[in-house]
Amino acid sequence: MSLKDILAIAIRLEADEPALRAAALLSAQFEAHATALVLGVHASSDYAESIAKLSDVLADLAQGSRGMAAREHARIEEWLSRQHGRFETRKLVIEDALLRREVLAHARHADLAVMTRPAPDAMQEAHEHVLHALLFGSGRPLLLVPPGWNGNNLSDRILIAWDAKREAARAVADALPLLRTARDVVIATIDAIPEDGGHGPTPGKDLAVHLERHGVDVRVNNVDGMGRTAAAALMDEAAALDANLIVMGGYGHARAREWLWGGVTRELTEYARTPLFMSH
Amino acid sequence: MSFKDVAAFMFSAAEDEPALAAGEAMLRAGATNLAAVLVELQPDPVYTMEGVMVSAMWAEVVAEARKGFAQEKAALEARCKKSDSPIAVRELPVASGFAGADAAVHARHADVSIMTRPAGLKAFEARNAVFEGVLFGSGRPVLLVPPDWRGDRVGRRVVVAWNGKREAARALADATPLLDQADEIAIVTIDAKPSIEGVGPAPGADIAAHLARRGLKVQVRNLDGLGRDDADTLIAGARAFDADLIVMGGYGRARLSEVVFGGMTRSMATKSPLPLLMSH
Repeated sequence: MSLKDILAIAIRLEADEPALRAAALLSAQFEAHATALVLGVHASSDYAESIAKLSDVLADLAQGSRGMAAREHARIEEWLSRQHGRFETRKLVIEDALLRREVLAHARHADLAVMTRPAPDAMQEAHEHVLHALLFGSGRPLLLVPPGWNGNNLSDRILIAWDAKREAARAVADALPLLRTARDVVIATIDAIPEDGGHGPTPGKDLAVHLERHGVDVRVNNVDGMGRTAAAALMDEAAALDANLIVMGGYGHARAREWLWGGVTRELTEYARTPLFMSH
Repeated sequence: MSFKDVAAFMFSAAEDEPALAAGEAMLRAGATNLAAVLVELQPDPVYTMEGVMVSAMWAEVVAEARKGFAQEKAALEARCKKSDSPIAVRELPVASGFAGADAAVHARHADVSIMTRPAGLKAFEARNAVFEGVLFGSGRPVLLVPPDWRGDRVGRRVVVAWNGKREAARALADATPLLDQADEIAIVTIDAKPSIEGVGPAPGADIAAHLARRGLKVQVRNLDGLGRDDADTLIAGARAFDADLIVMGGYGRARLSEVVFGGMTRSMATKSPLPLLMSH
């Protein structure tokens, strides 16, 4: 894994500025190419249902290139134009991105996709669908930035949520470029049982040894859940470390052509105040 | 950045010489740790019709198995001593039915797992189980080496099989350490249909552009299947390019609680004359 080609998802500037900022930050840090994939939502789109009245739909149709999607696009372009030409822009209609799954083609040609995590706002459903598609379908890692995030560092202090499963191993491997630049990396296990579920006799140690071989200095913290959910315990750990990033497996189960979220993944993607680096 | 931490899963010092030799090639290419993981198959318990174990017979079976394993281990240790670089020999005792899951746990702490191609070797079932477990369960790539491999380097000339799918994207990212060191890289598509959501309007061009951003120069070869099966086309294409490594997605479908190999994956894993790097 290298970090040379970063894709940021932008639907509405208001909501997605954190993702664009995070992408700009990483692109500067790793001298990476950055692309903003702007997903246009027309007033007639199902994704605009909650914000567009019928009269708006008609007005939007009449306005054509001056309509809702075009205005939002212009706003995003204006923001991007202040980033010293760092971003390439690509434009897609959200229905093409999701129903025809074109967003995946873009993500599969990037090293990392960055998006703002869904928040209870007008674009919640759109964000959720994009998140779902990217996490389970792209084969590449996803950086999920909390709404309103205003950090200026993503790799100084990193918390690894380690449950010794396939997805977590995946995420750690994908996050190596970030882990190598970190000053402080903590491997956190929650209520881990030695010799169980993939853990060795000393949970977290095998991974620590492996990461040290990559020149990453780590500490292991075997956290007692104390009745908290694993997600809550992880969020508390992240807060205690003042972590800039949580690296974790993104879990889901395929059920009848649909992906169901794993519990910890669901909870963190809804509530974490720390950016999440996830792979499936 | 090369692979650092390599695990070779072995069953026999003689039959798995190619896997070990490929591991040594990784050490020469910059890896710092190579573990030869010798799988010890625990014999299946023998029961009488009443459900009572015949202890004398069982003791004999166990003693026989132990003796066989001790011989293999001695042979492997002797072989590893002759190596230019230190190789750690580890034992992995597995009960039948758990070989895949146990090997996967082990593989999660390595950058890449190496195996000799199972087809045609002794203990085929167990080998195949380990291959399946590591491919689908470790989250890390697997390098399958043909039983007659006699190379001193893996990945001088690399063919990447590209179909635009998640697994191929995964494999491509996981192959980064090898691609970075390769002399020549070819992206190969087979009977590609230009499409926006798959291989792109000019099949292979988008992924070549992505690799260019990672500093890799590649050529794109759009192969015509000419009615052959995809595995044969890919092998012929790799031969024509004089490749010494094929990188491809490792496909599987979920069936009840297990994952079964996809057709192309199975056939490449059975007959590829070149080392294969696969990720799922």
